[in-house]
Amino acid sequence: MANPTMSLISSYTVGSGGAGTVVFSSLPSTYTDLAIKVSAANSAMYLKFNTDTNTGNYSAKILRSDYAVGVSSITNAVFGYYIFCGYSGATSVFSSFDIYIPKYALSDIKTVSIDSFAEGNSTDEWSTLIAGAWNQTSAINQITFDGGGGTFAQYSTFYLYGIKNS
Amino acid sequence: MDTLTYVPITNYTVTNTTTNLITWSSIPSTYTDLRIVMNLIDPNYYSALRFNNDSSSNYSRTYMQGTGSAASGGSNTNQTEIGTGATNTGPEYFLSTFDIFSYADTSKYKTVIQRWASVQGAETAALVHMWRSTSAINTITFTDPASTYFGNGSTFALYGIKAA
Repeated sequence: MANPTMSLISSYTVGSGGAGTVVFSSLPSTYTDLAIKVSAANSAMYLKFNTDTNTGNYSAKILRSDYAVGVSSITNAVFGYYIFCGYSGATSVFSSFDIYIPKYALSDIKTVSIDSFAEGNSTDEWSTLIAGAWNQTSAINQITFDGGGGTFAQYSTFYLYGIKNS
Repeated sequence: MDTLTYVPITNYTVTNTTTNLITWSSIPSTYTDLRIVMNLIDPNYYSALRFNNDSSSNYSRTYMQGTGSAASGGSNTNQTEIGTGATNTGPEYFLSTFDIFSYADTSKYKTVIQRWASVQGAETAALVHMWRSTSAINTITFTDPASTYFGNGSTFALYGIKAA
C-alpha cells in the first residue's frame, strides 16, 4: 500500500491582539518538500528563512493584477524586505496564500512558488504569482512569516505540511 | 479510514551530467488526477514533457508571465510538447508543478495546469495546456530537445490524487 505523503507538521492561529510575526521552528528534515497554506489579514506578508535577516539573500519576481495598474510585473526590490508574498489594501481582508518550497532540506539554492489572492470589495487588492528565492544553501529549519511592520489579525491561520516523494 | 488522496507514485533524481531523457511508464489508472513536481537545477536550454510518447502537434497552451519588469500573456497552438520552461542559459533553479486532470478518462482531451517559478533567469508564470487526445495517459517523458542535459541533482516526482 502506498504511503500517505502530505502530513501536517504544524499549525498556528493568531490570537487576540494579533501577531507581528509567526514562526515555525525546529522543522524536521525528513520530508522532500514543504507546502504552506495561509489565511491572514494584514497589508502584506513576507517570508524569512532560518534567522537570515540579510535582505540581499532574498529575491522574487512578481506577476500581479490589481485595479490601479492592471497586470504588471515587479521585483522584490520594490519592497526591500524578505520574500514578498502578497498585498491587500485593507488590513482587515483575509488573503489566501499557497506556498510551495521544494527540496528545503538539501544544500541547493531554495526556490519558492507563492500564489496569493486578496479580495475585499475594494479597488486596492492584489492577485499575485510569485517566484521567490533564498540565495543560501543551508537547510531550512525555521520559517518566519513577517508582517512587514504590520500585524496579522486575530484568526489568521498558518498551516505547514511536509510532502514525501516516496 | 480516510482515503489516501495524495500518494507518491514514482520519482527520479538526476545523479549525473548526461541525462536528457526521463521516462515514467505503466502509470496506474487508479487515480483521479496526477501531480508532477519538477525541480530543475541549471537547465541548459529548454526541456519538454510529453504524454504517451506523442510528439505530434497535439499540444497547445495559454499563459501569463512576469519577468520582474514586464507582464505578458499569449497562446501557442499545435505544439509538439509541453514546454517546461527555462529558455535562458546559465545557473538557474527552477520549480515547476503540473496538475494533470482526468488523466485516465478516455472521453475527453487532457488539461494541465502548470505553475513555474524561477528567479535567476526566467520568470514566474501560470499556464494551461491541452493535449488533444482521448487516450489515457500511461507514459510521461521529460526530454531535452536541444540535446543538452538536466542538471545534476534535478528532481522529478509523480503523485496520484484520488477524489474518493
